Amino acid sequence: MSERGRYGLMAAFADADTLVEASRAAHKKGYRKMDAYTPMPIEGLGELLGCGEREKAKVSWLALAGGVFGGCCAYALQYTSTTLGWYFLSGGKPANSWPDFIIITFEMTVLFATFGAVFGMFWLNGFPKLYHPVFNVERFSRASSDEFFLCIEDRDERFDIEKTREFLEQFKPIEIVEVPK
Amino acid sequence: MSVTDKSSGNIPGSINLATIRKKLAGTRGREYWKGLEQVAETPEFDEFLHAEFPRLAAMWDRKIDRRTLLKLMGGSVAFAAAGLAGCSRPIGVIVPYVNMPEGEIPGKPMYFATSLTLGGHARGVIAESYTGRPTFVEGNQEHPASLGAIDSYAQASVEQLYDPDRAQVATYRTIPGTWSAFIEQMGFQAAKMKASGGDGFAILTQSITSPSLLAEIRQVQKRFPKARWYRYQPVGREGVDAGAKLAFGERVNTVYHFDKADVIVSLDADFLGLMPGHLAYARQFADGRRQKPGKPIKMNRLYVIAGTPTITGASADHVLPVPSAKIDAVARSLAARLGIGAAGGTTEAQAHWLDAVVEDLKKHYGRAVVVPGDVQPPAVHALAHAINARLGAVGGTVTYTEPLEPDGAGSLKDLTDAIDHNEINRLLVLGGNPVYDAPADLDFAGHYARVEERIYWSHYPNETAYMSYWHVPAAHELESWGDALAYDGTVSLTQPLIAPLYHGHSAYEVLRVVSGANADTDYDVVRGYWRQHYRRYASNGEAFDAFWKRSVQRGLIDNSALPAKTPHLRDDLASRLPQPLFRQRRGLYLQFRPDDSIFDGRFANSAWLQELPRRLTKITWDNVVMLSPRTAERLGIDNKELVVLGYHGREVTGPAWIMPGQPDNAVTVQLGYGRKRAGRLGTGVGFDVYPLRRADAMWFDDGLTLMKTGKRVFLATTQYHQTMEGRGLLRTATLDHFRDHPHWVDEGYPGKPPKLHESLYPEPAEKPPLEYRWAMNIDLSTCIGCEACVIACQAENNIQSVGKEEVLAGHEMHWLRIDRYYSGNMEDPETYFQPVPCMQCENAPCEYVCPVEASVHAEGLNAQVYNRCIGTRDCSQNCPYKVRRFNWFRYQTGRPTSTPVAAENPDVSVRQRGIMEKCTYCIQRINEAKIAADKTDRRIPDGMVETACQRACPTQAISFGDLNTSHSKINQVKDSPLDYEMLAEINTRPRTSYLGGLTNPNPALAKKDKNA
Amino acid sequence: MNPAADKKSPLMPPDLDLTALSDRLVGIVTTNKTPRSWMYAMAFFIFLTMVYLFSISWVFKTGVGLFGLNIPVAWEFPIASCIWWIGIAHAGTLISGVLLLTRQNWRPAIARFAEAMAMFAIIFAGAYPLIHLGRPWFFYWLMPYPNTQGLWPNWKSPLIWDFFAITSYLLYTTCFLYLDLLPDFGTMRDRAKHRISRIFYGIMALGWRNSAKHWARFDRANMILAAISAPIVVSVTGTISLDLAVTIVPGYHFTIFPAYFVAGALYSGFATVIVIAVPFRKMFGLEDLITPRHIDYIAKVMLGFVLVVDYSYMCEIWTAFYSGAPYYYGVYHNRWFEYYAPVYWTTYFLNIVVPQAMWFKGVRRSVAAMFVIALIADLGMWMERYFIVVTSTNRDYMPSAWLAKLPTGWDFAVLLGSIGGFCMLMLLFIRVLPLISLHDMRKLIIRKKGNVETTE
Repeated sequence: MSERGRYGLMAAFADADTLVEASRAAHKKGYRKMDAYTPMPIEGLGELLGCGEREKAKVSWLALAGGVFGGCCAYALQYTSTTLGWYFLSGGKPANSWPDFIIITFEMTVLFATFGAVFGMFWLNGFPKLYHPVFNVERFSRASSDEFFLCIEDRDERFDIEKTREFLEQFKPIEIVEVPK
Repeated sequence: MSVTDKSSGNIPGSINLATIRKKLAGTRGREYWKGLEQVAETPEFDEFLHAEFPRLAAMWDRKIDRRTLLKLMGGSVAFAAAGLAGCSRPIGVIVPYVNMPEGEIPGKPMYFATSLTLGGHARGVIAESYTGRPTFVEGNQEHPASLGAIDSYAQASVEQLYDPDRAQVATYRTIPGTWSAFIEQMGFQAAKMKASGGDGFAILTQSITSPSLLAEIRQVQKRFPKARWYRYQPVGREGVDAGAKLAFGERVNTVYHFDKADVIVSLDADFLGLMPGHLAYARQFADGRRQKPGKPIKMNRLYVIAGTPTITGASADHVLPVPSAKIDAVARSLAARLGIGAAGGTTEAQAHWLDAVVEDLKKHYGRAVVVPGDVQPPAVHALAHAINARLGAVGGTVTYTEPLEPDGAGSLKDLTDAIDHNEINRLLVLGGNPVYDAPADLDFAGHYARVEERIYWSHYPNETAYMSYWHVPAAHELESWGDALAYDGTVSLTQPLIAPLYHGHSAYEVLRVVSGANADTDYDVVRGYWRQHYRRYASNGEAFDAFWKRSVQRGLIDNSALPAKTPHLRDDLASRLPQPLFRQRRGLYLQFRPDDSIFDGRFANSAWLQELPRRLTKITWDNVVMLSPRTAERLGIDNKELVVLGYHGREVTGPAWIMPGQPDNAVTVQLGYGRKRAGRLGTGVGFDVYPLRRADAMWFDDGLTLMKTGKRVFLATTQYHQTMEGRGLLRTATLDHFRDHPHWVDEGYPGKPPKLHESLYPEPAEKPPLEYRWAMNIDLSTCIGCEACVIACQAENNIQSVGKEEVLAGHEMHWLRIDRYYSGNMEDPETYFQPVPCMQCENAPCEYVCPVEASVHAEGLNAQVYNRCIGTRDCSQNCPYKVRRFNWFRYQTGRPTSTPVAAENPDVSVRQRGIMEKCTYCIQRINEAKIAADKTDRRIPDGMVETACQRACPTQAISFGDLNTSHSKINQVKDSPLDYEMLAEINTRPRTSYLGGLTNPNPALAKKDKNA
Repeated sequence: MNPAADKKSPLMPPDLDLTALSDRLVGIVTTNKTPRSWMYAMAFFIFLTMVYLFSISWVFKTGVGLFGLNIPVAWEFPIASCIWWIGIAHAGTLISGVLLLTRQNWRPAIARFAEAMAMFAIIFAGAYPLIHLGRPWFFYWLMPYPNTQGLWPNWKSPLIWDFFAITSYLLYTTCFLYLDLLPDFGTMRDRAKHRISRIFYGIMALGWRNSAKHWARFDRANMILAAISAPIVVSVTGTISLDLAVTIVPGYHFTIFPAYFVAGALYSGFATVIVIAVPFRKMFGLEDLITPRHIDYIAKVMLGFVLVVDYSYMCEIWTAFYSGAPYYYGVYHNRWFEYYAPVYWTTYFLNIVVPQAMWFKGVRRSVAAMFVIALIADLGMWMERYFIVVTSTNRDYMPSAWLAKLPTGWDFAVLLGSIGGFCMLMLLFIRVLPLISLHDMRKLIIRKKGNVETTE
């Protein structure tokens, strides 16, 4: 037990089913400050671990915002630079030839929606975050290939090192480790 | 990418004339076609294949040493580097301007009236000079031989002036010497000569009409009684003089007045193209064809009996292709029908044709004229004089004056004979290039080599110069004083605009030095001469200085035209006529013609002229062997196939060109090519035909044999595809059709631009409302296809020449091109020309596709902003008229074809590599006028702005002006029922429009009327 | 997953479990013994890349006239190739996008390198118009940036639309590819042998730690981008087709162009996926992961799109003659009988006759046959772009200006060079990152077990 204090208690499971089972149980037991680590996304885990639909919707909203922003800026740029800016008569078309402006407006909408989604996701996930306590667990590297981890965090008010360990034990994890901060 | 050759015949791209005939037979109504390649619809695959791969090869195996390679690799990794390497700007030549001459405003051009000669005959020009640097010449309106127009030769004189290949220093046996050394040696020898009275001294000149120079020669002859004077001109007019002698017993100068003529018959005369006074003649002729608003519909009628197709034939209403050699016979038959002499032999097709012509001539007694060609023998000229007398033309449509050149000069043959008899030991060759252009049978070179002392004065270190002892560089006409006579005898003065660039000296100086007189300057000589002779022309009691100032200022001496005289026609002319020529023909007829572009070879080193498409073939940088389709078919000769011309034991090889309208069995070749020492550009271009020329057959002869070689070559023509595909681009009709259907230009052609409400957009709203709306109109009835406009445009707008290779690659740069269309059959087609500049569309397709606004509408013009252009070329892709030109490489400097920097027009930017350029309606001239107008706070008066092409046009076929000025010339022209816009139906709203072309065929020969 | 699929030959070996999967795919990257074939291929393509760089430098130095260009044929190889490359890119986007939405279980095996293919293709496509400029050193004038003259690009110009379309497409693809790579960066980080590579992958992974919360948001973002993929694919090639369609040039001015170009793009794109997949599965022994069934699926998609292309051909011809304008007859007379006719007919043979072979299951399941057909498809589509670009302007309104033009060696040098560069980047890519998406494959494996539901 390091002097830096404890981040939480982590259990490694061999397969996804047990993990899901454990998480569900933990959630029923009232644990809230916990997180699961899996090599691939697993349906429903998010809800159990406090990242539900409302959370995910944020990404969508950010994408939408990005799209609206991009589109408006694009059209505004084209409109102002041709009408308020230096006026060129080109091919006998009027300054505000809106049909010609649609394409760039569309492209920009799409592009900024993309940015909204991607960077929004980064932001919500708190990327970049190169250090995280869980990385201290030596086994944890397998979370990215073939093992499934559930980590109940120290800051959860129901967290009690002994009880929690017992709770996790019942799912026959491969290993249970304390995650130092 | 697989592209195969699918041409008929084993030789790629060869032509099967039978198929062509079938095609043409199959065509109904007025169908235009262009050159046989087209009618045969032969693809040009191999053309391009080979046009490409030599170039490529050159590119690939261009030596790249390790260092360069590394550099490039480095550059490759960082493109910017390579980019920068590419974008280095050309270095301009700058000249510090230390002290300002009086009245000189830097940047403001000054204009000087002077004159330029061709074959001794003067055309008055106005030369534009920027800070003492002549940059442009245009016609002098007050000069009778020019009337404000100009021809391509005169236009190119500026380029020739700055030609770096000109002789730059006096040389002795090709070793650089000095002028003073020349003077010294000449003085010494002149002293020796004086003793012998000039025995063995001879002068060889070209045609000279200059009174002062002739006086100088007379001086020399006075000082050295035994000195001889010979005269030789490769494009000479011996037949004209001999003909006059035959008809009148004296030499005369014939002047025609086509403005007074209703019916014109040309006996092989190219009076619109090359005859002395052709500019004036073209104007008179065109005035007789132009339909004036409000005036009754009428136009003159031109019959041409053509030995070879010329632009005169192209403008004719009826052409009778007859080998030049047989025109003698046709002329006799024509004369006989008018009761002069005995008929020559004619086919009955010709007879029928002649009957109709004679009828027409008789109907227009006093308003008809017959014009014999310079290349025709004396008999034809004599007959023409007789016919004109019979038609009551003399004094009306034809007048006679004293000859322009005095007699008393021996011919070149006399000279070579004299040399044979060792009578010549000292020969001064004053201009010309006899070693190159003398008839081969005289072997001038061989004789020249035998003369002990050979002195030569000329512009270029050419063939003759290399055989001479002393070669003195000649001062260009824009560098020296002088005078010459125009076709009607008007004395035209030449004044220098710039001091000789290359130590050049005038003929006067050389003549004086050689004859040991005190070397006065050309200025002293010319002025001195006129001080003695001016009284004849001066208004009574006028002081010489005033007279001189006035004359030099105007570039000519007022009313100095020779007075008309009426020589007495011999009554026994018929009996005096020589026997008709060529009763039986041996082999084919060989015909020589001066070249459309480089004349007798003197302009061979001019990139402008070499790249100017030949008027009818549209070939650049080459001459060809012209054959009639039937002859080619008979001999199995293929277009562009190398053929060997055999004549009197001599052989010359050149590419065949199947020429519609060429008379059968007649083979025409152009003089002036195959130069050996012309300069970097002219040397080795084309093939030399002088070796076939004989002193006794300067223009045509029979006994020619043709041998096919099976080898095809590439000729850089500027038009490849060749049918109009029934599109109403060029519209013509007969005069009668016009009478019945005044609005024929719109009938049966694709329609008008769509209505406004059919567009998604409102009408173009220019802000602020335009002050000027510039527009152009080109009259297809009067365009004769002389291409003066093309080269004027090139000179005015700093358009670069690119060379044969690039033209082959389709990279030519001319802003203004002249399309040539044929209609009818191949034996005697009708020929039409259509100049195509930028249309300056109001709804310009080129504009909206430009991503950087380099192509925008400004001042109602379709402007091209050079320094904004990045070269996407989308504008050209989207230009339906394909009038845009692109700088594929760095053409503007560093290439032999680049225009000399000093000759560039400072008002027009020189375009960099990688940008698009196009006709601007000479916007620099518009702006100049606008500035002038703004100063006086008035609008630009109508007619103040003249585009270069308009100004150059001999026939005034081009009108230009402002549509907002009511009653402006352009408005009147565009009100004509003949006015139409090309491709109006695609709603580009062109500002350039055309007047439908009219022809005036003789109903008696109505087969030509295609509207039936 | 759908039981029907189980009856068919499996899309992956049944005994493949998570550990084996990671070992194999990560092994390809981390192994020290690079396959010899890879070495040789790399050497060859590096050479071609140098050819590419050298020739475009020489063009920059000398002038764009080196290409087989003139007036009226002011566009040819470079523009045709640009359209072609963009088209190839589209398949990658569509696979990783639309197939994701439609839960195609044959997608994961091919999505990753298809996406990479897309990105590299766009790079070369985008380079072409710039190489092709008369004054490439001023390319930045295409961008809107405040300048002293107060000049902005001409928004009415299709070339500007292009510029924006291609740029945003490149950025979009980069985002999408990176997003998809993020979890795999995590895996690589955790399995990397050397400290250096661990640091590299660690930084690229941005601290991804497979948290369920990460996955939740990741999925949502992925879905949004997938949803965007369809419109962007349509709009980008659509926009490029407008370069031609908004002009008044007969042969360019067809309203059907956008749809027509998109179909062609996807056809050639999917073909390219096969062209890349076949050697790679051989090179790294992935025959059991990229199976004939995958090829079969791709073939079906190709067949679908090529039929649309063929339909468009006919439709275009019909439009031309229905228009009643002589200029449009002219275009087809030109294409059928004149100078470029051989190109035209070859194209039609390659794009109409040959693809019909894909109706047969045997052909679709035969890797070799499909490889050949795919190559032919790419060639055919390139030739189609070429004749569309060239045969329209070489004979448009003014017969007097009509002129044809053959490509020069520089055209071929740049084209082959760009292909070489593209292949080099692909080879590089698969030695640095897993060429098959790990997390997508894991989903498949888990789903096979069938107890827990993974997300898409």
